[in-house]
Amino acid sequence: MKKRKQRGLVERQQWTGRKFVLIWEIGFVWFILLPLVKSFIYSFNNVRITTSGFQLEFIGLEKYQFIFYESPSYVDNLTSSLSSFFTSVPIIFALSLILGIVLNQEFPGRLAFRTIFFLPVIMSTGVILDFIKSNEAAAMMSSMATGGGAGLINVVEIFDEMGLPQSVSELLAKYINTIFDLMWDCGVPIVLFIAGLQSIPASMFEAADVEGATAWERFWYITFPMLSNTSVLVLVFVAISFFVKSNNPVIDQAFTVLQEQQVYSTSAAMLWTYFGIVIALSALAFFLIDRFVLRRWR
Amino acid sequence: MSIQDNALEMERKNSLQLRRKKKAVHLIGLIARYIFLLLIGYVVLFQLFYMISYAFRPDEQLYDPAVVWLPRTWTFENFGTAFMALDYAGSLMTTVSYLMVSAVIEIVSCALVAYGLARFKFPEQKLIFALVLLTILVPPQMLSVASYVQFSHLDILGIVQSINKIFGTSWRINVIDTVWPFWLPSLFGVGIRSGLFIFIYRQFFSSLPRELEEAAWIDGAGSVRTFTNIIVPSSGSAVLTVSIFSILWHWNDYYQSSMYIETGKTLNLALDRMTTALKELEQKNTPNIQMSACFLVILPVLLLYMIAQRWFIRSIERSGIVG
Repeated sequence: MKKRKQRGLVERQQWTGRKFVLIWEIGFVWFILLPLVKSFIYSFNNVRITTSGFQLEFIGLEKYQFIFYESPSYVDNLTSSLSSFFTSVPIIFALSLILGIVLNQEFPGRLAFRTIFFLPVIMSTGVILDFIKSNEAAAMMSSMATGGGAGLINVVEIFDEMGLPQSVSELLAKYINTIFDLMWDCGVPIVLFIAGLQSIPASMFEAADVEGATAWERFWYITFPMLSNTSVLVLVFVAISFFVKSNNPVIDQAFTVLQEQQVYSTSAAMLWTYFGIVIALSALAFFLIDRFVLRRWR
Repeated sequence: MSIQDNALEMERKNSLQLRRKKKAVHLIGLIARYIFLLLIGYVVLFQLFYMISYAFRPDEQLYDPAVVWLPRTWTFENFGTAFMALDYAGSLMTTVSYLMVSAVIEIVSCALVAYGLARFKFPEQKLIFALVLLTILVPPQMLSVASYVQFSHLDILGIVQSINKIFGTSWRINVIDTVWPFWLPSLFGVGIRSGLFIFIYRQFFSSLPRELEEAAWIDGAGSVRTFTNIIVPSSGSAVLTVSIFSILWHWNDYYQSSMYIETGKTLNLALDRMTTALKELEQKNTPNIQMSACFLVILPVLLLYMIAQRWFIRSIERSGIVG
């Protein structure tokens, strides 16, 4: 008697839970799964628009062959996009980890700095950044002509004055400018790292102090392992936002093909190839991280 | 006696020296930290200063080599031109009615879904949570064509299609250029970055003590009432975090708006099309006008962030996103 009633309660609980999730399930099927499946089908078909919607004509792998063998720039875009993916994600990760740790410490004015470092999230609308960047480039040209005007620190000049050879200073300037550019993607990761650092119990650091641990040891044996959850979250976030960014060359090309030439299937094939590669590579990366980096600390 | 005194004296001296050394190290660390932060902060602030510096600059000082940062005279004229070119009032209304409403809907619906995932146990729960995380991974560009077709032939469960088949008609529900391509996905918890918000909410709800809800259930509150009267009031920081992110990302949206909006324009679309608008107004397209337009576009969210940031970062710390 009692048992049956309990099961009834559990079942009722299950149904209440399902009710809350139901709207999401409908939305997922309707707005994510169906479009995703459709775009996969488009990539194997010739798509024509008629009055009653789309007319499909099966052509198999033709579009995939086209983007790899005939499309002039797709492979280039793919490789450049992937290589910048694997260089910029670690840089963003490290930079925001360092900034997160620094901003987490107590010092006068840290609230002001935190406010500043979150600004990129507000300002990094593609449109606004494009405007500013193009303006800066124009200003740089005019300032070269007139020898004045506001500009970002001219890094090459500084290194030149330090007496470094031209080639070295240009290389250094390139890296520094890359880091400056990547700063724009650090807003959310910094906040996530600060939140993660706050959740580490202070007693751990106290214990380490009592045991005479150096700052270096404290970082590698407490802070970093305790941040493993946060790190995975940040990595996922950074990777995704890099992947879906509209100034990514592959996405940009696929969008141009779609908008200007109205070739749906080519665009879908381009995106699916990219999506597949990125998913596979990130799955591999996360497997390796999980297997060889995080496990050690657990 | 004197030996002891000596030892004491030595120790005091030593500890004094140690303290001084510690203080010096601390000071150096502090200075190094400020230099580091200022250097990197400069990169961020530079763009903002640049924007402001140009936005208030009169035309004749644009190419004046003597004017580096501060214009000699400040002018508001650029804002007037930018205001007209952006059609600011109209675009702001569009942004609010299309995107901000969508953000509010998303804030509510994601909380509901997350509550279901956090507090009730049912067999397929894990799978659903994994799928929620998957939605974060799918780039919107992959869905765009198919979604566009879906919104121009809106149909749920094939109802419209089967009616068409039965009666041989060919009518369709076209919601492109209305608010629905923004509101509908938000309503169903699959709007702009909804997956991330469901994740944030879920982490927070899971960390709340169960006793409160149990007390509410015993007092006869249903699950919805428990949610509105117990859960929502005690998750202020999670709600604030999600609200700010959702509003910001909706405000900054360009991709979705450029796809689904045809007649009206949001602020970002207006900014993108400003060159043509300026030509139509027979105005010059100079950097100072561009920058004041950019400034006008981010001004509302900038103000919002300035007001809310004090609570915001603290609430992220408390919302336990990162477990």
